[in-house]
Amino acid sequence: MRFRQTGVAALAGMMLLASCSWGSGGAKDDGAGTGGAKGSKTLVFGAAGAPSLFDPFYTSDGETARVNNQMYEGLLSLVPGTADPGPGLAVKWEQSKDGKRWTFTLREGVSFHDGTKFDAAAVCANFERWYRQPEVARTSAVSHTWVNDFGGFEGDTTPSLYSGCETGGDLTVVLRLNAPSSKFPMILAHGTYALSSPAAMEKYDANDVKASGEGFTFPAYGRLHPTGTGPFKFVSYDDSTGTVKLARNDGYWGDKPKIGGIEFRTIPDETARRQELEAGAIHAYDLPAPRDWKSLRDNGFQVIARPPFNVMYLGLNAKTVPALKDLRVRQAIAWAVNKKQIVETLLPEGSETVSQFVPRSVEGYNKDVEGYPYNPGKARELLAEAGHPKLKIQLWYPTEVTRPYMPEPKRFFDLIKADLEAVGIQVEPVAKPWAGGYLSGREAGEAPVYLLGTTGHYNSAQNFLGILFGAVDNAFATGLLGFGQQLVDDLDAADREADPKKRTSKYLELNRRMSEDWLPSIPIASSPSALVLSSRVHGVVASPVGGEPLATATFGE
Amino acid sequence: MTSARGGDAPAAGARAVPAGRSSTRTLQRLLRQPAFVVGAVITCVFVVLAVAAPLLAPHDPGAPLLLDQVRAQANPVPGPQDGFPLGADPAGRDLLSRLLVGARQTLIVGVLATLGGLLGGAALGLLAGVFAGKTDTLVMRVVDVMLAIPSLLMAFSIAALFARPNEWTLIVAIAIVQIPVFARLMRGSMLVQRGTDHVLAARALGVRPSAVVFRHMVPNAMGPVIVQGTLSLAVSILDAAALSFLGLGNPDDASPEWGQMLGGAQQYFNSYPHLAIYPALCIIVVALGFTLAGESLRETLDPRTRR
Amino acid sequence: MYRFILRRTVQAGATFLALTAILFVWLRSLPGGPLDALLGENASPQDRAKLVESLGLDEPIWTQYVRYLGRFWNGDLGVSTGVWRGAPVTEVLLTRAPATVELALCALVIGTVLGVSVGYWAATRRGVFDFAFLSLSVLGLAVPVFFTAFVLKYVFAVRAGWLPPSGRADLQGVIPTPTGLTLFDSLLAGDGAALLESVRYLTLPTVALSIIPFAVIFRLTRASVAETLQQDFVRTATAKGLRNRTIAGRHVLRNSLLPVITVIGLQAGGLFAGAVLTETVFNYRGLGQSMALAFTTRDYAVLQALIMAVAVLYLFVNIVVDITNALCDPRVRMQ
Repeated sequence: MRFRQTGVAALAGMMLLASCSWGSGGAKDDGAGTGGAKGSKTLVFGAAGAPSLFDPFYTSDGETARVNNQMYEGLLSLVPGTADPGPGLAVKWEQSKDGKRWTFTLREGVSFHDGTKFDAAAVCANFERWYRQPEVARTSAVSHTWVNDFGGFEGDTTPSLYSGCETGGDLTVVLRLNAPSSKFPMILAHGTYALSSPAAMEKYDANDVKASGEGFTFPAYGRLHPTGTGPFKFVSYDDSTGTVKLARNDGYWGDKPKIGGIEFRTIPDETARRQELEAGAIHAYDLPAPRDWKSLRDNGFQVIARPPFNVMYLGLNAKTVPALKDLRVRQAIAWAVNKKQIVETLLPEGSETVSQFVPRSVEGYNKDVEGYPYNPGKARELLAEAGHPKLKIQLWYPTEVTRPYMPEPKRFFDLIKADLEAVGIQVEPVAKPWAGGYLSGREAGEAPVYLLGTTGHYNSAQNFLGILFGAVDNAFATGLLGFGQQLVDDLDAADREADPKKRTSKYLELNRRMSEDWLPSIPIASSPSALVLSSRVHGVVASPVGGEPLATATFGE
Repeated sequence: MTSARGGDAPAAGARAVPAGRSSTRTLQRLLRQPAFVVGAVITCVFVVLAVAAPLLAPHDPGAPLLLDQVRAQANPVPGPQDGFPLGADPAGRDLLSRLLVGARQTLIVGVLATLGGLLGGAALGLLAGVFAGKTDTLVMRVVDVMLAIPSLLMAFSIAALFARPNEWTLIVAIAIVQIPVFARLMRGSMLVQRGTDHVLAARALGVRPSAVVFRHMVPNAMGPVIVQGTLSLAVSILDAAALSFLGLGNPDDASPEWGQMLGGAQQYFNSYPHLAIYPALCIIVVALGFTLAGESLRETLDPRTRR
Repeated sequence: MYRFILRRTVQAGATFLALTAILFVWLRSLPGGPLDALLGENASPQDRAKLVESLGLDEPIWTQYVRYLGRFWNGDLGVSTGVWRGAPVTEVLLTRAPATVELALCALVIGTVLGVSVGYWAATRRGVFDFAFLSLSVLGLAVPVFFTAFVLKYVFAVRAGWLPPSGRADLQGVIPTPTGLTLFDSLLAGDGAALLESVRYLTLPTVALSIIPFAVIFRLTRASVAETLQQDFVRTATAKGLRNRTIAGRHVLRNSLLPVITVIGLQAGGLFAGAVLTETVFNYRGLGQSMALAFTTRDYAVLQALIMAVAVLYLFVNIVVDITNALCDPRVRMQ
């Protein structure tokens, strides 16, 4: 039985043909497409994640900082290519003898994107806003960086480092602290403390944070109307395409950007970012996988490595495994781990092993401390001596995540597991999703041995050590180890030392003791991440802390 | 995807065939179909490989034998060389051995997940089919709720319910999402059986109800369910791969499974596509084998499609 | 008929309510949670305790559920704690939905049109053509969706450079985008360049996603048409000397499509699961990709809303299919 084919089949055939010809007919000549890269003077940047909020004070993640850094500036800025403070919206600064008063001389002729003038009053308005946050925002889930750096808020029981802000004329600001701090003044170069227009904050109710269900809602200021002084202005953010668009700020006080604007495109998958770059749809992207560095360079792209500014470590916590209270057991684990092999096989060029919880470039890194180079024989000896020749232990590693200091956690785990087993330790693997039990389990002390790392924001040992060990009740349970309080006190003493020379020597000593006498956990490596640029983009300097300013970028041929 | 691919199953399978009456004729008919022969050959080869994998594998699939050659940038994936015909994976482990041993793990995951779904679904379907009325309504509502969540998402959530992901999380998750398909099929099958002459006859003769159910109804009703099981094997293997791709597979890759290998190779697809292509081809061939065999079985046993 | 519709709707409502409760309790019994994402890797136990208390997460789960229902009733689905930190969930859903609707519709339409027409063709012709498509459809079911997507992307976007490797056409500022559906908006604005752009971005994900619906619908149509052709009324019609076209349209297709319609309904849920994979591979910013993202950040509010949305869609499609069946076949109404 035969039938003539109906129109449906013909239509189907046409659609099939059409979809093929779209493929070949397409736009080989401009891989960029609408709003794309080539031909326009907008720099298109492939970001690994979406920005969360354009109010720097309420954010702490790198993806958000990258965007905010283009729109906002702080009193200080990082000297390009380093984690050291340089002039920003303040041109000069000095501290009082006791280190509790900091006087800043402000830059003249600066205005915010909304046209209001930047002056001493605006600076104090920002500090006062941070200090007087509404009750609901006084959690590290919202005001993360302030809680870490300054402690408490106005009227809190937790003491705050911040005491007050005074204006001395239009261009002079005096910040008062309750104690001297090693974090000053570097901290002011950190993106979180970038300054917003007081008028815009008032207009768009910047402090109107509300708790709702399991999260927080943020006001219009940070979502739609960010207003800083930086070289780029906010245009739009569209989640449906994952793009943030910024335009050049023609009223910028400094060198005006050569590019007309920046478009950040969220492309979570690393392979996809590379493909977009190769297709010419983006000009630059962040965080290439180490294995791609070479082939990217071979294909004519620029791979700019950032100076290492993180520490990957093997965390220890004696809460569930009392054997770890014994220094010899912790030392045995340290001897057992082949750190050099980890650096060579898993981390990109420029990575190095570290013996301390601060990267080598940070003031206070003690070059004389050798740490625990690979020595399985010593590890076995120490285990036997401590009476744990057949120690059984859980080794935790995270899934569903890659971190700049730990590209593929599972592979770090594999190596460390083999190392530990080689000295007779029985390892029970525990894999937990990053946000699905890993972080919370670690905080609760359920993980006796685990993989993690920390990334710095400015050149200060306190920035690394304080966050990890600044309280006795921490994820390393140093409180159980006998020296916990001593460590906290020593850290405080170093942090509160106003004389930079004496402070550095205190950190040197602290780092020595942490490695030789205490060993709360085992620092392993410090590694660079990288930024990829197409061959046409010039003028971008990689920063150790990431989130590079793109105002200096230019297009060549 | 389970519901998608199994979608036409209940309609076709509900018409049960009295089993075992003409098995020789059925076999002859099956062997005349090229699809069945191809499917059966693939399935047999796969099973043999899976069983003999430890004997055939040249190296320990979990041993990082070529780790010394691995460099994060210069040489992330060691290539083929003496004794390692396919090269190694990024952790320096022999790829060929991993593929061979992977056959075994894949078979285990597929069979156990399908078996779990089959038994769970058959039990539910039995309940619904035997105790009609309220029990039936209740069971079928539960099945509807399960069907309302796309199966992959459900497997996704179930896999995440376990504090420590391992191969069992995968198996349990896939088994649970297969339950509704089997439950519907079994229920339909049982309803058909209730009306058949031999069941009516047995009841009229005063056979105990439990005996009627288990001696007369269940054996006959299981036919389509078992055929669906063959098809579900393919679905299980594919779902396992999808879950691994989404990061919910078994993180311990000492004894690998193909879906896990494929899921783990995605980041290397650009520069080292062979890491993904080998396990993908294995999955495709085996899924094809199960599908072909299962489909031919279903068509042959279902009198309506017989021509 | 109205009672039939009413009954099905009430049943669907009850199913939906049960589902909200199960999901709420279930998600919150998972290890970890949104707080992990909010607090990050350097949080201290005190930070967590303070946050748990201030958000009321230490209260019994049923209290929390009742509060959730209360907010739900007022149209508040909560706030994202993950990738869209601080954004209301309704907003996330609304910005993301058009992308998935567009992709799924395209895939479903192409899968259905191709599946029905090729299936019909294959059933009436048989032979080599039939065998080729039958083999292809079996193969289509055996290849993992995400692998197909990867290969398509690699071949057509990365190697050949014909199509963009990922993302969605960005028409903001180019033409007005009232619906967010790029194809529809371009047609509405009559902008050929924008239309081409939309099509270029949609092609690969659509092809990847439509393979399974195509294979399923093709096979079903083929089988169904083949069966109908054997029926007496078709023979009668042929014997009566009716034109082939009339027989095809009035007798064969209408009678063959009933089971096909049912399966198209079933495909809707499957399509969404496929969309999670396809959208992830193509970084196509729809609900499927959101679901994967929401899961890795344990963004419960978004995750729950997404699953509910899928369930509603599924229940709705099923009711529609039931009603269509009831209209086409009076026997169903009687049951």
